[in-house]
Amino acid sequence: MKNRLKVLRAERDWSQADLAAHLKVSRQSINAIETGKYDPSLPLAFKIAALFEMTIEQIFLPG
Amino acid sequence: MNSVEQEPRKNLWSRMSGWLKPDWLFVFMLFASVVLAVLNGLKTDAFQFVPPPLFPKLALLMGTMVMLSGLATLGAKLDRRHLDDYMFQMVANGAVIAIITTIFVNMIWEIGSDLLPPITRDDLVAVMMGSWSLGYFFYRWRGLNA
Repeated sequence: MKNRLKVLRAERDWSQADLAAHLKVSRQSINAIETGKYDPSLPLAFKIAALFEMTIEQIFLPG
Repeated sequence: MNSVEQEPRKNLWSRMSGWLKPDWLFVFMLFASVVLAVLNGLKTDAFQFVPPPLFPKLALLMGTMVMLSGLATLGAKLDRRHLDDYMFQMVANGAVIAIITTIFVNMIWEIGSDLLPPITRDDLVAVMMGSWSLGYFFYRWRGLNA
Protein backbone atom coordinates (compact mmCIF):
# COMPACT_ATOMS: atom_id res chain seq x y z
CA MET A 1 0.00 0.00 0.00
CA LYS A 2 1.35 3.43 -0.96
CA ASN A 3 0.94 6.51 1.18
CA ARG A 4 1.57 10.27 1.23
CA LEU A 5 2.78 10.39 4.80
CA LYS A 6 6.28 11.62 4.00
CA VAL A 7 4.95 14.46 1.83
CA LEU A 8 2.34 15.50 4.38
CA ARG A 9 4.93 15.41 7.14
CA ALA A 10 7.38 17.47 5.06
CA GLU A 11 4.68 20.05 4.33
CA ARG A 12 4.34 20.62 8.06
CA ASP A 13 8.10 20.58 8.59
CA TRP A 14 7.79 17.70 11.04
CA SER A 15 10.47 15.12 11.68
CA GLN A 16 9.59 11.44 11.95
CA ALA A 17 10.07 11.77 15.71
CA ASP A 18 7.62 14.72 15.83
CA LEU A 19 4.97 12.77 13.98
CA ALA A 20 5.62 9.70 16.12
CA ALA A 21 5.16 11.81 19.28
CA HIS A 22 1.82 13.14 18.00
CA LEU A 23 0.59 9.65 17.17
CA LYS A 24 2.11 8.08 20.32
CA VAL A 25 3.98 5.43 18.33
CA SER A 26 7.69 4.75 17.83
CA ARG A 27 9.75 6.62 15.25
CA GLN A 28 10.50 3.22 13.69
CA SER A 29 6.78 2.79 13.04
CA ILE A 30 6.64 6.05 11.09
CA ASN A 31 9.76 5.10 9.13
CA ALA A 32 8.31 1.64 8.36
CA ILE A 33 5.02 3.15 7.14
CA GLU A 34 6.80 5.72 4.95
CA THR A 35 9.08 3.12 3.38
CA GLY A 36 6.19 0.70 2.78
CA LYS A 37 7.53 -1.91 5.19
CA TYR A 38 4.39 -1.85 7.29
CA ASP A 39 0.73 -1.06 6.69
CA PRO A 40 -0.72 0.61 9.78
CA SER A 41 -3.64 -0.90 11.67
CA LEU A 42 -7.06 0.67 11.11
CA PRO A 43 -7.06 2.57 14.45
CA LEU A 44 -3.63 4.04 13.62
CA ALA A 45 -4.74 4.94 10.09
CA PHE A 46 -7.72 6.80 11.59
CA LYS A 47 -5.39 8.63 14.01
CA ILE A 48 -3.13 9.66 11.12
CA ALA A 49 -6.10 10.82 9.07
CA ALA A 50 -7.48 12.81 12.01
CA LEU A 51 -4.10 14.44 12.67
CA PHE A 52 -3.78 15.64 9.07
CA GLU A 53 -7.53 16.45 8.90
CA MET A 54 -7.97 14.24 5.86
CA THR A 55 -9.70 10.98 5.04
CA ILE A 56 -7.81 7.70 5.09
CA GLU A 57 -8.24 7.42 1.30
CA GLN A 58 -6.51 10.79 0.81
CA ILE A 59 -3.42 9.50 2.62
CA PHE A 60 -3.28 5.79 1.82
CA LEU A 61 -3.54 4.55 -1.74
CA PRO A 62 -4.06 0.95 -2.87
CA GLY A 63 -1.29 -0.86 -4.78
CA MET B 1 4.69 26.01 7.69
CA ASN B 2 3.31 24.43 10.78
CA SER B 3 5.53 23.23 13.53
CA VAL B 4 4.97 20.91 16.43
CA GLU B 5 3.23 23.02 19.02
CA GLN B 6 3.65 20.92 22.08
CA GLU B 7 5.72 17.87 22.89
CA PRO B 8 3.40 15.31 24.53
CA ARG B 9 4.29 14.66 28.17
CA LYS B 10 6.06 11.40 28.74
CA ASN B 11 4.95 9.25 31.63
CA LEU B 12 7.17 6.80 33.51
CA TRP B 13 6.31 3.91 31.17
CA SER B 14 7.13 5.99 28.06
CA ARG B 15 10.48 6.97 29.53
CA MET B 16 11.26 3.40 30.59
CA SER B 17 10.14 1.89 27.30
CA GLY B 18 12.88 3.89 25.58
CA TRP B 19 15.31 1.50 27.23
CA LEU B 20 13.22 -1.61 26.66
CA LYS B 21 13.46 -1.80 22.88
CA PRO B 22 12.56 -5.20 21.37
CA ASP B 23 15.83 -5.01 19.36
CA TRP B 24 17.85 -5.41 22.55
CA LEU B 25 15.62 -8.16 23.89
CA PHE B 26 16.02 -10.17 20.69
CA VAL B 27 19.78 -9.57 20.52
CA PHE B 28 19.90 -10.99 24.05
CA MET B 29 17.66 -13.92 23.12
CA LEU B 30 19.78 -14.73 20.06
CA PHE B 31 22.91 -14.63 22.22
CA ALA B 32 21.25 -16.73 24.93
CA SER B 33 20.12 -19.33 22.39
CA VAL B 34 23.71 -19.74 21.13
CA VAL B 35 25.06 -19.98 24.70
CA LEU B 36 22.34 -22.51 25.60
CA ALA B 37 23.09 -24.64 22.55
CA VAL B 38 26.85 -24.56 23.23
CA LEU B 39 26.47 -25.35 26.93
CA ASN B 40 24.05 -28.15 26.15
CA GLY B 41 26.50 -29.58 23.61
CA LEU B 42 29.20 -29.66 26.29
CA LYS B 43 27.13 -31.78 28.66
CA THR B 44 28.60 -35.24 28.97
CA ASP B 45 26.30 -37.06 31.33
CA ALA B 46 22.83 -37.69 30.00
CA PHE B 47 19.92 -36.92 32.31
CA GLN B 48 18.30 -40.18 33.33
CA PHE B 49 14.57 -39.72 33.12
CA VAL B 50 12.23 -42.28 34.61
CA PRO B 51 8.86 -41.95 32.84
CA PRO B 52 5.95 -41.39 35.24
CA PRO B 53 2.63 -43.27 34.83
CA LEU B 54 0.59 -42.03 31.85
CA PHE B 55 -2.41 -40.41 33.58
CA PRO B 56 -0.53 -38.15 36.04
CA LYS B 57 1.83 -37.16 33.23
CA LEU B 58 -1.08 -36.20 30.94
CA ALA B 59 -2.88 -34.34 33.74
CA LEU B 60 0.33 -32.52 34.65
CA LEU B 61 0.99 -31.61 31.01
CA MET B 62 -2.56 -30.42 30.36
CA GLY B 63 -2.72 -28.43 33.60
CA THR B 64 0.61 -26.77 32.92
CA MET B 65 -0.37 -26.03 29.33
CA VAL B 66 -3.71 -24.43 30.29
CA MET B 67 -2.15 -22.38 33.10
CA LEU B 68 0.83 -21.18 31.09
CA SER B 69 -1.19 -20.44 27.95
CA GLY B 70 -3.47 -18.29 30.14
CA LEU B 71 -0.45 -16.44 31.51
CA ALA B 72 1.00 -16.09 27.99
CA THR B 73 -2.31 -14.63 26.78
CA LEU B 74 -2.23 -12.06 29.57
CA GLY B 75 1.42 -11.30 28.74
CA ALA B 76 0.60 -10.85 25.05
CA LYS B 77 -2.28 -8.53 26.02
CA LEU B 78 0.13 -6.39 28.04
CA ASP B 79 2.63 -6.40 25.15
CA ARG B 80 -0.08 -5.34 22.72
CA ARG B 81 -1.10 -2.49 25.03
CA HIS B 82 2.39 -1.16 25.66
CA LEU B 83 4.22 -1.91 22.42
CA ASP B 84 3.06 -0.05 19.38
CA ASP B 85 1.31 -2.04 16.66
CA TYR B 86 4.38 -2.26 14.37
CA MET B 87 6.63 -3.66 17.11
CA PHE B 88 3.93 -6.04 18.36
CA GLN B 89 3.37 -7.41 14.85
CA MET B 90 7.10 -8.01 14.38
CA VAL B 91 7.32 -9.82 17.73
CA ALA B 92 4.18 -11.87 16.94
CA ASN B 93 5.30 -12.76 13.39
CA GLY B 94 8.74 -13.71 14.74
CA ALA B 95 6.98 -16.04 17.21
CA VAL B 96 5.13 -17.76 14.35
CA ILE B 97 8.49 -18.35 12.60
CA ALA B 98 9.87 -19.77 15.88
CA ILE B 99 6.95 -22.18 16.37
CA ILE B 100 7.12 -23.49 12.79
CA THR B 101 10.92 -23.80 12.89
CA THR B 102 10.89 -25.65 16.23
CA ILE B 103 8.21 -28.09 15.04
CA PHE B 104 10.13 -28.81 11.82
CA VAL B 105 13.49 -29.19 13.58
CA ASN B 106 11.87 -31.65 16.00
CA MET B 107 10.27 -33.51 13.08
CA ILE B 108 13.56 -33.73 11.14
CA TRP B 109 15.29 -35.10 14.24
CA GLU B 110 12.47 -37.63 14.77
CA ILE B 111 12.74 -38.83 11.17
CA GLY B 112 16.51 -38.92 11.13
CA SER B 113 16.98 -40.16 14.68
CA ASP B 114 19.26 -42.99 13.49
CA LEU B 115 21.58 -40.66 11.60
CA LEU B 116 21.53 -37.48 13.69
CA PRO B 117 23.00 -36.92 17.16
CA PRO B 118 20.34 -36.92 19.93
CA ILE B 119 18.47 -33.65 20.51
CA THR B 120 17.36 -32.54 23.98
CA ARG B 121 14.65 -30.21 25.30
CA ASP B 122 17.32 -27.56 25.92
CA ASP B 123 18.39 -27.80 22.28
CA LEU B 124 14.80 -27.21 21.18
CA VAL B 125 14.49 -24.21 23.51
CA ALA B 126 17.69 -22.83 21.96
CA VAL B 127 16.28 -23.42 18.45
CA MET B 128 13.03 -21.69 19.43
CA MET B 129 14.73 -18.64 20.98
CA GLY B 130 17.19 -18.35 18.09
CA SER B 131 14.54 -18.66 15.39
CA TRP B 132 12.28 -16.16 17.19
CA SER B 133 15.14 -13.65 17.20
CA LEU B 134 16.02 -14.34 13.57
CA GLY B 135 12.34 -14.06 12.59
CA TYR B 136 12.08 -10.72 14.40
CA PHE B 137 15.20 -9.35 12.72
CA PHE B 138 14.07 -10.63 9.32
CA TYR B 139 10.84 -8.60 9.62
CA ARG B 140 12.79 -5.66 11.07
CA TRP B 141 15.05 -5.72 8.01
CA ARG B 142 12.59 -6.56 5.22
CA GLY B 143 9.41 -5.14 6.72
CA LEU B 144 6.11 -6.80 7.57
CA ASN B 145 4.98 -6.72 3.94
CA ALA B 146 7.95 -8.85 2.78
